[in-house]
Amino acid sequence: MNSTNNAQLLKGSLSVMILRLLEDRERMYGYEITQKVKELTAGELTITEGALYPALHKLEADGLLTTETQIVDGRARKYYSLTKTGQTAAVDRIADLTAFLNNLNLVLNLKPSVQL
Amino acid sequence: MNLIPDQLQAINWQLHHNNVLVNDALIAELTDHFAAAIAGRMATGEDFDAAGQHVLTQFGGWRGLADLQTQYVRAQNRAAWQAFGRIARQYVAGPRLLITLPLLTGTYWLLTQYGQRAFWALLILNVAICVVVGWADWNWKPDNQKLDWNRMYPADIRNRLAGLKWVANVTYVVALNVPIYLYLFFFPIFSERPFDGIYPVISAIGITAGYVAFACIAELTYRQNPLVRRFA
Repeated sequence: MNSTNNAQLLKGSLSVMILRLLEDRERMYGYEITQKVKELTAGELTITEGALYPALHKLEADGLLTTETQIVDGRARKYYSLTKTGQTAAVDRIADLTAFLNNLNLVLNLKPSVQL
Repeated sequence: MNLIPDQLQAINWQLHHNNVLVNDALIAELTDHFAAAIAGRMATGEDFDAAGQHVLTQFGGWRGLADLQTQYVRAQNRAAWQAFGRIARQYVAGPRLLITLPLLTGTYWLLTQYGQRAFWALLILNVAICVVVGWADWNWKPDNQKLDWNRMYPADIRNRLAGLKWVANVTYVVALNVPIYLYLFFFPIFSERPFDGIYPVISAIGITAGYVAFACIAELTYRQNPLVRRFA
């Protein structure tokens, strides 16, 4: 996939992807999220760090994520997890995005109309 | 693959000493990210410098890191002000109005009855509360040692003291200074007469607002403040 198109498509759905991953994994740190997305999509989607961290910080500021810091290999690692509000928001936003994708799919799979 | 201490130190040094990043919490998070990402790339055969350069590019270079810091500080500050606002609203329009109103009328009564003596007593109380509430902040020794107030631009100070630290900092300055400036602007310094007219009203509001602001910060920093925990 073209990386510029990829980045533009990702922009609107990045926060939902983060919420979904955290819904599944309970807690994750930034680098782990980038690697997980890469792994799940077999390298087709890559989240740049320049996009990931602002999204994480915004979700944290909005009260959807909470953080805890743990010392790993002598350095502070910041883990993100969903708050209660975040859990509800994750369900809602995933449902919204799924509905949007279904509708988008209907439009993209439009069959040529029959000319009379 | 784990990085050797010299490599970790090199990452830490780069992030601290290029004058782009100043926020310690963000630097700590990015140091871990750089270390993990560089180790991941080195495991595929890349050398340390090339791996570091690649990770930096993923952030949009130093410019990208500077933007990231700006966004981080804004997000942290917005969240802290919102938390502060939620508590403060309870003192002016919520259940805690039952605390604010007696405080306000009591302050007004003291000012009208005892004039300047009451004002100074209230001001000393204000400073004492500020010391107790600010204890959590003045315990941030590593930060405070690095803060060079005379040489740093306000934006740099704000970047370093993001979130609750920044909000607390602004609150201390405003809540301490408002009563003093009210006094200096509205009342003769050496007057012994009781306060009258609009002055005690404005002064009582200013002093009460200061107390309420300190109470909000005390509640937000309760966990990291042993003094507040002892008094509560």
